[in-house]
Amino acid sequence: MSEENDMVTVDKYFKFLSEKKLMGSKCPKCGNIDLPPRRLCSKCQTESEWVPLSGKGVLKTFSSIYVGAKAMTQKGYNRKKPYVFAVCEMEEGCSVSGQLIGVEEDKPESIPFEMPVQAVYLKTQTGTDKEGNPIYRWDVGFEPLK
Amino acid sequence: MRHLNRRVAIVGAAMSKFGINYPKLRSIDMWQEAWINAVKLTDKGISPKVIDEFFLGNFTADLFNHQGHMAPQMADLVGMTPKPASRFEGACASSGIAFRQGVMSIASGVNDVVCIGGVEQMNELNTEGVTGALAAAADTTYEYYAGATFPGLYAAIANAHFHKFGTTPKDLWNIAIKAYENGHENPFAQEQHTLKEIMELKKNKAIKRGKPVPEWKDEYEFLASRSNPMIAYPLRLFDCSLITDGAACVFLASEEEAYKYTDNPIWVSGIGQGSASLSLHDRKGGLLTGINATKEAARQAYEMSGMSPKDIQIAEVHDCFTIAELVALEDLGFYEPGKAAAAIARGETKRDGVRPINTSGGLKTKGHPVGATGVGQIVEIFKQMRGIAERNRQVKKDLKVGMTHNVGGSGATVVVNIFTKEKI
Repeated sequence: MSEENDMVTVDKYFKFLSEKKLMGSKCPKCGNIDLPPRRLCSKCQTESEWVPLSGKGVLKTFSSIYVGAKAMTQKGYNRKKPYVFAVCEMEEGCSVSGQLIGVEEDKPESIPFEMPVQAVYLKTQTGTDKEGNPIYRWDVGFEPLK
Repeated sequence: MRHLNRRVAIVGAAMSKFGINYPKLRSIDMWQEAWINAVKLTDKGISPKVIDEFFLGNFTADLFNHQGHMAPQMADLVGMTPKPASRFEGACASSGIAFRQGVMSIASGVNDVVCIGGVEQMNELNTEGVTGALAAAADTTYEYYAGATFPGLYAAIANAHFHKFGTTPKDLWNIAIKAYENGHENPFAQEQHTLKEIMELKKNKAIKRGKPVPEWKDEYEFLASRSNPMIAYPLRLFDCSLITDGAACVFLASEEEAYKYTDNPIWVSGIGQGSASLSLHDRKGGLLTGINATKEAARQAYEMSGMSPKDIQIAEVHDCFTIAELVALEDLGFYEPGKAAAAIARGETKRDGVRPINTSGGLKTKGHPVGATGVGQIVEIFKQMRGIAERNRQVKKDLKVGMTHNVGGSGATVVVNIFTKEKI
């Protein structure tokens, strides 16, 4: 069984992200694509299969966040250095949240709606293991399409 | 068609003072205060012994206070044990859900008289701790690590609304200014200063500290200044609701039992509840300028009561952020999408407007003890429809139809209720 045929799980999605692969789920019946992936298609609830995504999409909405989530303040973001939380729609039709980088975060008026974006892969330390080695998680983020 | 199998009435309702009550008052104290006040506002009195069941809304005492299993705890404090006592959780709509379950339990014939409570003690944690606990109401798996915060999620809705309809920060500030005017008239509100008074306090503070005294022409200039810092663009500090401790309590009875407690019951004529994906990005159809679950909950409540938006004379809507009030007015059908901002600017939602909104001060100034908020809204509509709202906030007309609208998270759970003075 190839990995693309594995059951759709959250853990597998994160493993793909750690390999810098953006994988969604595709419904074999209606063709709908979900991101984040779902075992059951969000349109017709048929069991879905993994599908690689292009990583290209457009910015649907966003906020420059000055008082941030702990996961972000730990990375050094603060009132003087905001980050951008974004919702992007992929060219396959599905939408996902992600940090938008490569823009002027403190000039949110300058960030255009419907701007073409491409996926980036962002690493966050979430803790340490028994030996004190860092544990990371990988998330999809976005930057302006180059 | 959805209907209640028998009529259900509110016979009494009240709240504790909302505010930064901890550590002077804890959930245990605030709940008993709300209960005592609700018994007082039940015309012929009510005893815990007649209550068939207790429904409690609480979002997360587990995270705020390391306390689970709160329903029997609260039931015992006021003498409702050994009757059934259950807790309901739907983030900021927790007690809205509890209320709907209580209504259905009477309509079904299982119960004759029930008590609905809501309680939350948030200020035991610091702001960072509260923000972290509230974040559990959003999607931890996918949204949180993308940087989502509650202000950030509503800011994303605001930004989409600005982009689509040309809405401006000033449109949102009109909502905030009204909230402070109403909170000023509510002795149970957390923030009872008007914005003008807050501006004076800030000036006096600057004088005391020997710092340059800020000059603001009016509220708008103050709200555009550094004294109103950006939290999540385009939302600033004064666009956000408060971190609040508080409790609220309501008694419901069947039509057969209601007159034992009052000659003037307020009838629950329509109830509705809707759901949507927990995460904003999964809302199908790309709807980022409103909340679909509100439309569904409202559809059910309108259908059950036979009412339409134009029949609603007064409403408490879920204004956890100023933008949330604006989109609620559109999603509930009071205004076409993109048209609420102009109506607010015309004063239509003020106490003397065509349809007063959030006369209590709303979540913005009355306060937002998340699990108590849904029942707290019902308390205001009960008082307004009875004509007993305190100070100057009583709406000066005969209010025959009122509504409450309670949202959980960024819109994954919504409860809408319609109340009438007459039986329908």
